[in-house]
Amino acid sequence: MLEVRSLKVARRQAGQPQPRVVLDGIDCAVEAGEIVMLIGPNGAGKSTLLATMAGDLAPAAGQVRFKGKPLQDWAAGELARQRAVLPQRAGLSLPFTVDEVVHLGCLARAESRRQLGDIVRAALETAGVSHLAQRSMPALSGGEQARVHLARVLAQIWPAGTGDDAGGKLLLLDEPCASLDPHHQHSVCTAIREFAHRTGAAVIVTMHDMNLAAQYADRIVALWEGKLIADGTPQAVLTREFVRRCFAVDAAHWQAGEDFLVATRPLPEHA
Amino acid sequence: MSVSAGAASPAASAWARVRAGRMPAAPLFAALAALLAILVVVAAGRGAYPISASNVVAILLHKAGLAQGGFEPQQMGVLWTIRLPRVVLGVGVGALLGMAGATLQGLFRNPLADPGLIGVSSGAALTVALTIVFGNLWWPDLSRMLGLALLPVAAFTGGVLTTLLVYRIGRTSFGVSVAAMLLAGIAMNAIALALIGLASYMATDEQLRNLTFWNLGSLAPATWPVVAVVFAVGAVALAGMWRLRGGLNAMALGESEARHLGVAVERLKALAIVFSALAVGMAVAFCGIIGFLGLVAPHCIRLMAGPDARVVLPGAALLGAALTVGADLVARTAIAPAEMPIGVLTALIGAPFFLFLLLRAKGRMFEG
Amino acid sequence: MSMSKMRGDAHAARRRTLLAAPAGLLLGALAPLARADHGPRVVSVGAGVTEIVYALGAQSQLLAVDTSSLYPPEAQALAKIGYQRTLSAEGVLALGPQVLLAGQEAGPPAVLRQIESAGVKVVHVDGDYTFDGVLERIRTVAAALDRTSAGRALADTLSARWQALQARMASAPLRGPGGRPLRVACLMRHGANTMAAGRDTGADAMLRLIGAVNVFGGDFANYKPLSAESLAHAAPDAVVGTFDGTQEPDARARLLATPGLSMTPAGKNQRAVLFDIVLLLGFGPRLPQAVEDLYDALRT
Repeated sequence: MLEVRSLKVARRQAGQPQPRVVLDGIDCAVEAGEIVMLIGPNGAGKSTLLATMAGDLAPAAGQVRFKGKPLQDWAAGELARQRAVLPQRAGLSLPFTVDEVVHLGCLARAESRRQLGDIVRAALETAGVSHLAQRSMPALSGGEQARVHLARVLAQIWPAGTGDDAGGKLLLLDEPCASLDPHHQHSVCTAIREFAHRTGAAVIVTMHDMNLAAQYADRIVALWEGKLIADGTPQAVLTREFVRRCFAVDAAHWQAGEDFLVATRPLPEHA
Repeated sequence: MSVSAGAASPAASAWARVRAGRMPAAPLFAALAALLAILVVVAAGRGAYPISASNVVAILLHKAGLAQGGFEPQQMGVLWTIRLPRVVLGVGVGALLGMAGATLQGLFRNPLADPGLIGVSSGAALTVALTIVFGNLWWPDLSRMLGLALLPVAAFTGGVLTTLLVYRIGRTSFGVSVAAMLLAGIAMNAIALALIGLASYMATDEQLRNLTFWNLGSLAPATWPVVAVVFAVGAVALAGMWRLRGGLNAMALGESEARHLGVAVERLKALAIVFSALAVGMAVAFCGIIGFLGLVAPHCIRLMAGPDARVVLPGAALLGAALTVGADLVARTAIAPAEMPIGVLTALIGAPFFLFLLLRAKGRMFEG
Repeated sequence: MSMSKMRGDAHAARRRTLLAAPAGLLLGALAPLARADHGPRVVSVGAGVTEIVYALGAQSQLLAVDTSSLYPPEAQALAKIGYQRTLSAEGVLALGPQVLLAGQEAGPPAVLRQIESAGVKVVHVDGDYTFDGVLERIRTVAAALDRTSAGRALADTLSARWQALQARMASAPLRGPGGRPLRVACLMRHGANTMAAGRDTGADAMLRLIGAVNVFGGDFANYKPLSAESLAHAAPDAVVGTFDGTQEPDARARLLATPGLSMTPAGKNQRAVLFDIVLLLGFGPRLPQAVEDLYDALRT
């Protein structure tokens, strides 16, 4: 569904004559129903790659194609119906209620008010924030607000049973679990996985928690200093050797039934 | 708040929503429209010149061709050519200032944003000052040609030009930066103030007093032609701002978020600036500077019914109109036979209100 | 202190005017009975205009005046229609006048038009800063009030006095050292600043009428803030100041203490005089008296 070819992205730095190359020669493809997690150390370019896939940044070279069409050829409204983006931080300062915020996600949708109400309710349910529907956003905790914004982006691309859904939708998430407690980290990731498998949406998530990446990703793509250095299943990518080279930490794995868990500890030299 | 929304009865949950500051839109609009209607009726019936209620009815019936007599000719003259245009102009000006304030607060994502911030008021004041002091010197033919329309044309031109300049300054290669526009607006206000000071220095006493009273605002120049112009252009501005309501709501999440939701953000910013400058420019052109309405009206609506632009924009228009008609009624009857500038009244109410808002916002910022 | 008494009087006057408004209205309603043979009911806007009305003996026709009409003192007891530049159409019409005498600063123009369209005769009393201008204004007001004979009598009286004054000034013109014309500066306190009168002002006209020279008459027009250096450079022989209402006891001392004045002949010779601003710059029926007083004050 989403295809990235030879992507090169540069960002201008204050005080530097030349823009700095942040991503260099990225090739990547994501299919419908697939959950791909982008991992890498800080500054590797995860968020930049996600922003480029969202259409926020224009590449210096290469191309991003969504459903076969280059991203810049998509009309804004059409794109909003097919692709939703959850940023790391939302800057909402006005006292909207949770219900109103999730309704905002449906701005590009064309359904009737009653149908939208159903969609919003379902999205709230999936994100686990139905009980907060009438609460005012600024009064919620950081974690609760994060889940409300997840409900909003889910509502944006919730399947409507029309021909629109041909080929599924795209969901881009930037560190969705950053401010959540372990219980909610897992419930959010579970919700995302269910959404992907049920609606055939393609999901791309930046994640720095390797344990969550191991358990919920169908595929892991690793970035290192702007280059793609690994692309494969969690078991294939998250070897002890790889984690040591990429993240400078020691990793331990174990298989618990169907789940593949990864835990980290400092390297022996730094113990 | 209530735990399970579905379990409570509809009435209880409705009341809970009102208490939470979420009055439903329809009853709110009905109440505001009723308030406006009552104020218009009261304002039409009261003034320094004594016209009884039966006189008013008789005059209106006469104008509608339905009845004759029941009033003095001078009463009809006063009511029809002096008082009614003024009340109707108050409705128009108040609606324009209220909705413009609401639009700009949505654009700047800040409940304290005031139309004066984008430079409309100071730009208009500057052109008016220059026209009063140098008009006969610099463009005497234009002065003669426009006659009494000179000041309104000058005010409107200055207001819109300054706003466009502020917008241009705020433009970066990534689009228009709202923060940069705010700073540019503050800078423009300072420049305009300095230039007005310079012009005041070179002005005669008479010119100086003209300028001062223009700065204090008044609905006295209301005539039916003025009302027609304000309503015609104002309708365009109001319609333009109303169409932006969905985008303004999305902007509350942030510009990139609004873009992800499919909003054409740059176009939204441009249209918001243009239509609010148009609205405020029209009001300022004919009535001088009437401050704080664009701040007070939207805020009251938000307190009652939440920040949804679909409610705040029309609500602020209705409340702004009601406040203006009410303030003008006080301005022209409190010290009759003299009258006080309406801008003084709105400042007396609006400035403490603004301070109160600031203190509340400050508290919330440090609450965590 | 006389100043606070003035304020007390002013407050009392204001209270009276608030009551006087409905009283004025009542009187206006009764006017057709009371004034049938005395001419139209009048509202006067402008200090000079009001003075003329009283000088013509037509004060019984006055319904109300503006806030600047302070002379004669009886005028302060009348109903007030507010500041002359921001009149209220309804407020004026509610008093039921037949004529509105509009001085040069009456406004706003839109309101005057509204009042006129309501059937009130709006008479613009114009004229420049000369004695002929005063006569013209007297003629205009007298015609508007149906008092043309009284107007002519007043004009004749004033003209006679004026001729006598002109002759007297011609025979003993004001002279400075060395026989040249007397150089005078006219200064006014405006908040913290001192303003000087340039050309195109009433003060400038007054100085020319007494045969003196305005030291700033060639430099600028209107009133401008003054710097100590320019005052020292201008070196006036005498200085004229104004006061509003009552003269405070140290007013002359403060005038002499104007920065830069001490270096001028006026400062060294302590040649400073003070005048009531309404009298000095009114350009009304008291013009001959004002010119004579100014001439006499500067002759010493």
